[in-house]
Amino acid sequence: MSCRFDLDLLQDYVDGVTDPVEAIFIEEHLKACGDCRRETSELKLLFWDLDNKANYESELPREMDAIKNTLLEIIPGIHSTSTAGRIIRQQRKNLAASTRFIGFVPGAKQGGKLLKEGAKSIPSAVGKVTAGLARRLIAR
Amino acid sequence: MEVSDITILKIYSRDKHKGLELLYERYKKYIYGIAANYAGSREDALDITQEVFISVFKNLDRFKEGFSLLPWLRRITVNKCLNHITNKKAVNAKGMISLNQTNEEGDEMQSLLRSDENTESEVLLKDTKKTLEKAIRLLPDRERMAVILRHMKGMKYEEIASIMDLPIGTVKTFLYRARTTIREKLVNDGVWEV
Repeated sequence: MSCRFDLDLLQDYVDGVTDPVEAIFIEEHLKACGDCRRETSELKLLFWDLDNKANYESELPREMDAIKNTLLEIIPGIHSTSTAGRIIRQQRKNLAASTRFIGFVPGAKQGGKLLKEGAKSIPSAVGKVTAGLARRLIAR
Repeated sequence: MEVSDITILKIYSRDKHKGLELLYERYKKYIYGIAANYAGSREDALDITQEVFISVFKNLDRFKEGFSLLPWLRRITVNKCLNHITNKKAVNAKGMISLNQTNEEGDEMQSLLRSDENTESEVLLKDTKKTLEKAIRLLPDRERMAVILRHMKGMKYEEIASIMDLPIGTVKTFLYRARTTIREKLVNDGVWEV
């Protein structure tokens, strides 16, 4: 390139960080200088690639969840310090885990609903008979 | 579900475990993204991400409510990235030559090694993303970080200068140099038909 124009200034121009007076000055120069026009075109192409966010995308590795769990375990002071608190939290987790499979049983959700509706529709006399039977059984 | 910084800090004041978990979920992609583009390798990026979150988790108590978490997290990430490579270099200096090391003439070792990047298949591939990744990876540490913050994260020059503790003029110089290097690489690898 034979023109000795400040190439850094052209970068600023393409990057949009020149002040308005500088921009006018550059644009006037570009009208007259083919070399700098070519240079500016290449810079625009470069900035288009550099500013394209898709060029920086990286897939999150699966290890990220393991890192989270490890960090939450090892950082002190983020759990309640009492033993009772820890036991209760663990029991709560166990309970939640022990019934998790129900969600995967086919028809489980509808089953519960139907049982409730069925119980409502039982005649009150049947309820009394059942209660009476239960009392007798207890008495024996 | 993504929650705001204010909500995260409120939850954190009641339940630290939950608060940190939400913070991790909200910012893991952001932090890993910077680390991955900076480090160039998955393992190093994971190491850096882990270091950042350890630092964040340990110091969140000192964070003042009412401020945005992002600038603070970004600063920690930038520092961890720059220090990570520095540590690596220190390890390498004990007995091995680092590819990032420069010789007396200022050329990086890796740029002096014969590369197979010019094989026909690669030239034909012309994959902009890959070539750009490679070009960025070969930049010196601080130039690379300046490019990532400016072009990937769209930060202003003033913000980059503040986060990297550098004068604004130095940031500009880094960016001018880095862009020139990247452009040469894109032209040489045949990504552009110019």
